[in-house]
Amino acid sequence: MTFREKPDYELDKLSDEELIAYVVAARRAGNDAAAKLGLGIFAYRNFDLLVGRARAKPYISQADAEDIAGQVIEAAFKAAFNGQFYGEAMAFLSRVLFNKVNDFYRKLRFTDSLPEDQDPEDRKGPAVATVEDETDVVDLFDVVERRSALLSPEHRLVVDLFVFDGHDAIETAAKVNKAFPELNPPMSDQNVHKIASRYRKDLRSDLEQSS
Amino acid sequence: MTDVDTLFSEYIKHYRDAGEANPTAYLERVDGGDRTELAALIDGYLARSHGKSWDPVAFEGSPAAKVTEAIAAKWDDWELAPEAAGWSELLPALRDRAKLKRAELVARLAEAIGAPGQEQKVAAYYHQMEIGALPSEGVSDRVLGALSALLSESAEKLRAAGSVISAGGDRQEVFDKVAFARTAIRDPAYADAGEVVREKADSPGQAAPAPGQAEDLDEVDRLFTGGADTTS
Repeated sequence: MTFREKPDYELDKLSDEELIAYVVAARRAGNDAAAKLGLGIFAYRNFDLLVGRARAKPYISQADAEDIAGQVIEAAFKAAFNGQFYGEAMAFLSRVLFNKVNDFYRKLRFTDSLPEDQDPEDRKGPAVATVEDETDVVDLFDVVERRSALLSPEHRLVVDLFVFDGHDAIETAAKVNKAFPELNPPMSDQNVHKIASRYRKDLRSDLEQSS
Repeated sequence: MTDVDTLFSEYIKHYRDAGEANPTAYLERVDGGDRTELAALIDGYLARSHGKSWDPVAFEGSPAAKVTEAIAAKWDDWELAPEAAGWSELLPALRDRAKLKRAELVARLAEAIGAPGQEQKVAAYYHQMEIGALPSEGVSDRVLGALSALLSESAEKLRAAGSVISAGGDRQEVFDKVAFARTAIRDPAYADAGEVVREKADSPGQAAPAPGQAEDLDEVDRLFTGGADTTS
């Protein structure tokens, strides 16, 4: 396959999976400038999202979260270069993010146990003494995905749009009916509320059991 | 104490308005199970978000630019795996390993994807796969899942091997190949699902239908050319 270099506005339209594949293909073709542009677009697109997700965990400062986000992006491309990047980028990045967050906690726990000159008060984040209690973190992405995987494709789309993406019920129902024109009866806004309410209740229960 | 729904709505609004994804200020306003639930919702929202559109000016000097530089500085030391074998190499090899004749594989595949009685059409599409003429981007998870079980290879590896995009191609190439495969298997000769179809598929003069002309698709067409998420 002959590598074809693309301008940045075309790369910006690619999915994460396509962008990663493009960077790998550019490297194989020896076109480092093209590979670096693709990597930059991927990093710019995903860096803040990964930082935000890391910051949703206890005791992770902005600096720590940025460090973790960089590690996740690096791990993704290293895996892609090795031919070990399969499936959806979102799932892959989420798995790596969870592992990197746990690595961070392990390091924190380890340094916590050292009776050396480091003053625990200097550590970022509150209540350092209880860090160990908090380090068995719940893999939030995994819990959400497991619950979502139990849904039909139509209900999953409802959850994605209404629960996670902030669309209103009428708009959600319209999008679901467009995506699944064979639905009979069609999705209504009342159905959207019912499906979302049941999902949230089940998710809450899953999270409580995982904690 | 504010409820989870209100905080989550506020977070989404803030993120969309300011492009700022830090959830700490919102999570600090709830405790216990509410905090975990809000964290899960925010994580789910960010995981599904597209992220920032490319802005080369804003990129300069940003943390993302530093990450890019750091990665590019070390990737010369990373192992670069050779380009994966395409379907034209992988599928016959896996079939040999599984000691399955093509007709036997096709019969089982047709059964597994819920298309018994349509073996000829399945055979024609499978043939397109084996000659590397059908891109994996068009093939459904159901077909690859069935092949994974029959050939004892992960569906992810099968999809990666047949991907035009992974090999450096683009969406137009995917579209052209999918359209061409649909045309090729509609030729009366596809009933033979063999060399005659191959000649057609390899013929550069064969025109692919324009977008929107792939009408009259049945379930087998959709399963082989409708994309990964095709469910029926």
